[in-house]
Amino acid sequence: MKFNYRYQQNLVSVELLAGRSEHQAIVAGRNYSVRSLNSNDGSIIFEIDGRKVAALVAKDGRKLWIHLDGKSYSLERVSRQSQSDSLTESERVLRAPMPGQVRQVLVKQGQEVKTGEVLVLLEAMKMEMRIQSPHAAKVARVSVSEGQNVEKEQILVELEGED
Amino acid sequence: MVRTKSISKLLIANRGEIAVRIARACRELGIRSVAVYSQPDAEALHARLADEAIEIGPAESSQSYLNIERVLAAAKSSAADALHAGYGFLAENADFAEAVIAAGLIWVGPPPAAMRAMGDKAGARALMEKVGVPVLPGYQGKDDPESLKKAARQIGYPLLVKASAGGGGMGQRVANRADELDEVIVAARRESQHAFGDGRLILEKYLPQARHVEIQVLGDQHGNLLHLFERECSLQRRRQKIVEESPSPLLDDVSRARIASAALTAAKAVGYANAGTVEFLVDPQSKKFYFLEMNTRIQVEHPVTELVTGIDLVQWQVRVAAGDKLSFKQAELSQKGHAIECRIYAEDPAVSFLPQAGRVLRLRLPAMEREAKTRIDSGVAEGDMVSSHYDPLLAKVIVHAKDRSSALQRMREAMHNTAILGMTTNIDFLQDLLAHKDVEAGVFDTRFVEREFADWQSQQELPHEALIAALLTELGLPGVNRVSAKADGEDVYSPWDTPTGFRIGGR
Repeated sequence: MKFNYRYQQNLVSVELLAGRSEHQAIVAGRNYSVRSLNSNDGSIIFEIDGRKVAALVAKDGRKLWIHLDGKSYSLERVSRQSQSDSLTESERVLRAPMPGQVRQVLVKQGQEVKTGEVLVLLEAMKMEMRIQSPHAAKVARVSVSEGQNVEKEQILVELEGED
Repeated sequence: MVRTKSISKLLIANRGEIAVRIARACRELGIRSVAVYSQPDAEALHARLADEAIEIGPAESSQSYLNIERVLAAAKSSAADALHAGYGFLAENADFAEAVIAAGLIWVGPPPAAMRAMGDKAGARALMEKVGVPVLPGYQGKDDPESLKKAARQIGYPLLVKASAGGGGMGQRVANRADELDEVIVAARRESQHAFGDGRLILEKYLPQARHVEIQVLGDQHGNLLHLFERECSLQRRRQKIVEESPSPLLDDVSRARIASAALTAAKAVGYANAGTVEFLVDPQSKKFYFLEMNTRIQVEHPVTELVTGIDLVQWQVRVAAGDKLSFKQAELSQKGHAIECRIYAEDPAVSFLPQAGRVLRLRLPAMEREAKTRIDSGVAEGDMVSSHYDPLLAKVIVHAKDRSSALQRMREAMHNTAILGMTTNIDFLQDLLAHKDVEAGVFDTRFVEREFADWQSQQELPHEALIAALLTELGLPGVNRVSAKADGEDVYSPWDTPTGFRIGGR
């Protein structure tokens, strides 16, 4: 069974060959022998090729958080189908990085915008945020209007592909 | 120690870690605490920990934590006889302080007249010049774009455009060149109008290499006004502090004495009492210092001062408000060892430190050590929701050690053992910041973070161990997916067992 995750901008996968108490995990062509030893309140202890590893983990829907050796990693489970779609989508569809209010919409549908051009001014936590175009493109759709309250991840502007 | 008035119940007009901190001080003083909370905060830690809790309205601050009428109504209905406003929200609102006093309550804070005098940044600048406290070249006056442009030409660039009513870095923008000024004025005015309800702007010469050093002062109502030395707060992002320490690695005894004396002059000029902080910008080469502003309230970073001086500032705020005399003299105070604070925020350092929201699925804070060597001031517990309505400060970790290098080492260990899962936080970033050679050397200025960490990204490589841990989590190990139940009984998260400090949610 293969598990696919998005980590930052990358897609990573791990394949599991489940055994009774010992599993095989294949990551990037490397085969690991894995044994789960203990878990309590999010703290898990497991063995990888006989070496003991401790981590703090949490799961919320498709999202996973792993704290290991002083660092935190956040992963999102993705199905194979949506991988490629969602990555190109992130370059084309501009979403609200946090909940807030639209102060100003600076572009119209059909408008050509340059890289870095400010498309929308968002205000949240008393801060002003500029939503800028990641590349030169034509505005396909403006999905919000001034004064509108938006949720985190809500679509603000959609761009057409680079031409 | 004569207590002229007595306080038996205190209302805390705030939320988050500072409300929890004030509740702790109340408990230690034998005073009952009353929390107020907005609807989404009904189960927030501060509301659970106070002796009583009263709902004051919906999420929007203007209708809850910033609503004078509702806060005062809560004070009345709970029969509180004193009020502490913490920092932020109404803490520096002189009208509010006056209304509190008019309602017959003890205001745990400075005299409203002192708040008003320091709250008006333009007026404060003028007063400081008059009493001989150095200020940066600047302009305060008619603030239409043409007048500002004219003044800007005289002061020169880079130039700081800031809210006259401002504080905490809100409504402040830097114009590096004349052609940036128009845009900067518009943005600063919009921000300051929104943050303070007042769009007036002033200009100030911007020191590109300045350090932020501030002096803690504390006064009683019997004419005693002392300083509790400095805090170095130059490590900032978005013009807000993230790491603070005392003593400052920049100052020597001579410069420390000069700046502390200027702070006392500033505080005396407005008839200050209670706890306050006089902020200065210091030129690292010449050690010349310039008055920035005075914060007429307790500050986020007050614990570093508490750890090096052994003085409990929040308890003393309440005591001097009740009429107690300070029981110590200036000559009896000293800075023992070195203290550092790290602020843990729900924010994404890789994306302009934008605030984040989410549920605290798992919380691991470094173990509190004996003799208060590591202190945790947390505003959240496991299972709590962090909403985007309020300041994203989650917790503060404060360490104390014999010298700066041991304190840094202790803080690095503490950060290594701190985890908040469920949202993006700045913990990884703080670790990288603490590992920087210039931070180790104590050589940095207020723009250090934006310069050195502009393109910071959290660790790129995902260790295979982490991926395997994710896999094991997906397999549904017992005890992995369950978030610990909310505290129904008040004592589930009780931090009151530990007399020397605070530990919430740690195990």
